[in-house]
Amino acid sequence: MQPTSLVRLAPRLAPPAARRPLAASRLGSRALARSLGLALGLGLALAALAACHDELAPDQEPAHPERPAQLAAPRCVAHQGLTHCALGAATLTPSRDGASLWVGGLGDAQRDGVAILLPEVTRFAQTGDVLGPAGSSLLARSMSDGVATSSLVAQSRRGVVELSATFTGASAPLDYQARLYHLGARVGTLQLGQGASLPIVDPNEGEDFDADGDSDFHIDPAGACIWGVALRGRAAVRLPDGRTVKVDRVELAEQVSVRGSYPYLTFDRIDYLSSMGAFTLRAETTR
Amino acid sequence: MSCAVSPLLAIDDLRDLRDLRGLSRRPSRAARALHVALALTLGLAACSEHRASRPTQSTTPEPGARERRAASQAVPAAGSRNAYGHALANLPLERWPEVRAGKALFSTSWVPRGHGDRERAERGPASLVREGLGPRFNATSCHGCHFKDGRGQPPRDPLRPARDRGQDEPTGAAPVLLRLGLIGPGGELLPEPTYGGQLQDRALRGLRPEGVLAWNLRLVVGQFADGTPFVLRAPVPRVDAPARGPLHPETRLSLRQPPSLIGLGLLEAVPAQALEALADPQDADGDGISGRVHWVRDPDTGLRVPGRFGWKASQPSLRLQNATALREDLGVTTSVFPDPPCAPGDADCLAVDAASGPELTDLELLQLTRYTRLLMPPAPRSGPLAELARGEAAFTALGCARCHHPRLRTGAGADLPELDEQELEPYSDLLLHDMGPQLADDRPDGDASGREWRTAPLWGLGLLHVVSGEVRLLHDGRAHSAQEAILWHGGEAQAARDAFLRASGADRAALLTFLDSL
Repeated sequence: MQPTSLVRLAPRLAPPAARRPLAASRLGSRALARSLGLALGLGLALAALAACHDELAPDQEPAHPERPAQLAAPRCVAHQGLTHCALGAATLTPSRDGASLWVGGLGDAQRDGVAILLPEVTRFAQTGDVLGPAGSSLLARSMSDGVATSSLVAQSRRGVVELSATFTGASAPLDYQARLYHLGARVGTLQLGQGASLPIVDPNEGEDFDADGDSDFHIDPAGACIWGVALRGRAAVRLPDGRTVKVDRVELAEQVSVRGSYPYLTFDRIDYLSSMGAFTLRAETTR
Repeated sequence: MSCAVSPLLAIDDLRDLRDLRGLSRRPSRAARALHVALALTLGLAACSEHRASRPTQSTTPEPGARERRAASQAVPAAGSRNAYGHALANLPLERWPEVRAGKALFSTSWVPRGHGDRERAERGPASLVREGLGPRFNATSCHGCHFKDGRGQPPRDPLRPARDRGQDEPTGAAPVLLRLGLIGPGGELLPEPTYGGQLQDRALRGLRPEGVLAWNLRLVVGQFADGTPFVLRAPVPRVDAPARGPLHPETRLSLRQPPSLIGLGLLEAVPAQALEALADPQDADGDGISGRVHWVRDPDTGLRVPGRFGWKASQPSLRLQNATALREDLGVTTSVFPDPPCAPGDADCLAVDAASGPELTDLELLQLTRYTRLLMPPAPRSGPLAELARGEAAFTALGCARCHHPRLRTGAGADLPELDEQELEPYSDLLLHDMGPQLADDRPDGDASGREWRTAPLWGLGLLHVVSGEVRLLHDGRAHSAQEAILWHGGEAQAARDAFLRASGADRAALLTFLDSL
């Protein structure tokens, strides 16, 4: 249709600008990034803010609430067959063999990171080292049609990594479940209220805690959104009864209540934002 | 808040409206200068309306506020773009798979026959793709015009390069259709002989689209009693590049924007007797309002029933509304309408191989319809109590409630128990009303005249800009705010509109605050 009018009845969106070549990060090698990752704990991003939760008052909500900053010139590369775009001050550097993607320039967990553009999928999994050192934060969020469906937040402090999740499918804040696994077996289940977090600690209670892991996200057949973190190295969770159980995988799972729920079916984007300086993405799979 | 009066507007008394007609594609230099001045003034007016109408919203209902809330409704997340897409709050868990199944059909992208595998491979392993689009169509999915169950298109993600797909790419422009028709010898509506009842402006490769929908803008300027000026715009549609020759010179054209989909199942469950009780076709009470039920024949039952859906309440049920939209807008057939939307004589369209059976099965139509029946209207939101109370009082005092009836109640014995005996706040009587010449499309539909329109429900009004990215009201989307929509009211609503014009700025602002809270 072609409105030939004084005032268009609706503005047309500007097309995306042409891609610019990536700038190499000054932070240098993977080794530096890794040493940062060996420091204790993670800082938590404030996931409940606009980036991962769409419960904003209208006067705080920008016209496109999920639009990251600095989109005048998208900086995107291909990795694992998927388009990855830098967000905020982040820079992307693919390895020569295509096996990994280094994401640098990460100083702000609400702004700096990478957006992974997906086809319509119900599952995404990545291997990498997105969990950072003490004092750093990770925010991972899934999006569908421009709306955040869910988010995972990992905040590191000395000796502990706090994991939490938010889900936007319910019409009101609901509890969610933390499912704990070790060697393939469920070793615990916890109910967490909105805003509550799951502390991951060193089973030896050491403060030099190197928690790192892979992450995944999927929407199950019932429509529940589920974040998974596969932990490498020593990791445990303190249960309410005082026991400490070793874990190598944690799932934060939405509980579909139906009452006023929104039926998410697929998602089409995953963002990872962090303040840890840099992280590396490796294998990525979708379904 | 009022705007400085532009010297170019030369504001006159409202009874002497100026009708600036016929803006062409290439306006003169003087006209362009006037356009700029009017656009600037419009921008000021829109800005002031926006600030006046946006209440402070909290996510927690204040004690005592909005106590009348149906069990089917719950407070959605404030400011959520999902606000229109939540299932009824009293839905039992065992019905959740039905909602998801219907949502999947609603979100399905329809593609030409033979293209399904390729499209699935390109869109993703979980993509919802079905073959059967067209041959002629206006959209490729329900979702494409009713994004997030509202009345807009999906936004284009600025991170994604535009795909040159030709069929499915959101353009950023609001979706709108063009209905066509001629007046028959008995005053009945007949399809345009070459193009039928609706212009399908997209087509499968190898077919020419029927035409290009375009429009000029008609501007109307006026002022409130306190001197505050306003400018209204109405699209005057036309068809450019008609594929099979010009339209009949007496063709009636009517732009139609998609309605929002909230609370439709609840509206469907309001008993006919309740609507009859609200009707007063002879204006027996002398209040100037003569709303009437649009009686239509339900082809499923053969019975004469109230029409409820569509801008002129032409459709008696959601099932028929959905089946009609599938055929007319997507070219998808069902057992209700097993033939594609090819106008008589459209040889190219008729020559396209037809499917051996309906492209959407009866079960799937039931699932899709069930989904649209189970969408929850968002509950009113809290705000400054005094302002809301003043606005609600103005809503009644100015006469708005005579047609935008605040409350309805569903009947008992619905096939879906969630719809049974629910108190609703739709702010609509679902009746036809003469809205005057300014809103007339002169295209009758069934028993509805060219000046009559069904009272639009107002629930969810304040979240429309969040869900759909902008506010577009009235049948052709001409009104970009509730204030503009009020100013277009005429006919039976003339008195209410005039009262609004005479109201103080504070009362007008309070009314808009109240409407924004719905």
